[in-house]
Amino acid sequence: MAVDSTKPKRVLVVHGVEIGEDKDQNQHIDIRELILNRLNGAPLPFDTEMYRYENINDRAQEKLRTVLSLFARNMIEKKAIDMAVDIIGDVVIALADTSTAQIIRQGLVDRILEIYEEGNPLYLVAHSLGSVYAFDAVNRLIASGEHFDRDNRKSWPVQGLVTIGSPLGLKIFKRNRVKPLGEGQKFFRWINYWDRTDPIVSGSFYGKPEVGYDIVERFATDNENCGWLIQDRVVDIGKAWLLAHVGYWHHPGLGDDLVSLLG
Amino acid sequence: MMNQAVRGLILGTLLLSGCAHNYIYSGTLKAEDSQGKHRKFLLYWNKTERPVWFNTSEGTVRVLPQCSLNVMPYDERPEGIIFRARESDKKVIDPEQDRDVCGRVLSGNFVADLPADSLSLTVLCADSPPDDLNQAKPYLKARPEPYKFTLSRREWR
Repeated sequence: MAVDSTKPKRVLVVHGVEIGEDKDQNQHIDIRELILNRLNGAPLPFDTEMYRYENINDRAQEKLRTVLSLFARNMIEKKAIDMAVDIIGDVVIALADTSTAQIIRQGLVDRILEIYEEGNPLYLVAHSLGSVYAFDAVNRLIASGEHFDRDNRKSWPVQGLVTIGSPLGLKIFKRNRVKPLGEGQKFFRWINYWDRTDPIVSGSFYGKPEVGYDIVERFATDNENCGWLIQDRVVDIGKAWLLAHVGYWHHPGLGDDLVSLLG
Repeated sequence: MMNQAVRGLILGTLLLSGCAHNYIYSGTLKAEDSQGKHRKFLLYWNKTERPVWFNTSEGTVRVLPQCSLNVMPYDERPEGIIFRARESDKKVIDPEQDRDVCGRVLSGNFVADLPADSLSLTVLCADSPPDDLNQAKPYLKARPEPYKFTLSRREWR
């Protein structure tokens, strides 16, 4: 089993905290359009697809939603409760690393390995909370010892990780180190895009701009065996606060860098 | 009370975002690429100015080569605006010095403060794909002398 360099590149998009159901998560279309726009007709065979887990979360939150909706006095309050459970519940599931989080993570690992078996070079693009699952999935695959022979990129089920609007830099997520790839010369790329006013990245509710440069670059070890090339990249979405958080999908700079990464 | 606060915050954000001015700074240059072919190169970054909220700026100046998919990102870092080496970049000018630095913007240390009329930068690396999973993608030819881009600014959105 190995990656075939002649096969089209595949981009697996992992969504973050979202309202709605699986069928509403179609951010892979935005990423596809962004890449196509930046390619401007240049030949680069690729395809995008979604990893969706909204329905898994919704099922886990069903009982809580039913109980809380008993307190609702009208349709508007019921809708507000639904939305609050949907958003806060997604975060709590990931933070507490519940069995639901484990199902989501395992589902992502399984999908990555399915694509690997098909032989397509795979890149992960993960937004917001999805970046936590994507980060865990890649590190789990490295830890398994079955893949990621450092000097043979064709043994890598994932060729690169792109995170956008990620909360991984926040202490509450308790992630601060990558799993080293071991001895070798090649590097696994992780590019982390963040807007300074994005409150999910900074943890500032009011969107006070985050200063500095490093969000996840500090996850790398100084050891030569680390094997990760991690780069934080500040982007200016042109919008502030939560609008910045949901605006990455259309950022031209991200599109240019994705094209460069895939090409 | 809480509802009013949330509504006010959302409305405020929408209003402030609506009042923002988004600018793109760009310039082109004709020069040789690393394969010796004459190409056009586009440099750009963007910046947002807001009357009340904070101004923000892209943290990267990007150089796009014509007929190649290889974007050269010059990232704002504590030590300046640097083209940081990737796994596919090989340093060919002063290879023993600052091996992780493939180039530098010479016109300033912060993207937000860069001049709007011209910009100079260096290129010290050449594209060198590690294996056949990535194709050769030439970019601006490495040379000891800096390249100078003439810039213009326009509003977008």
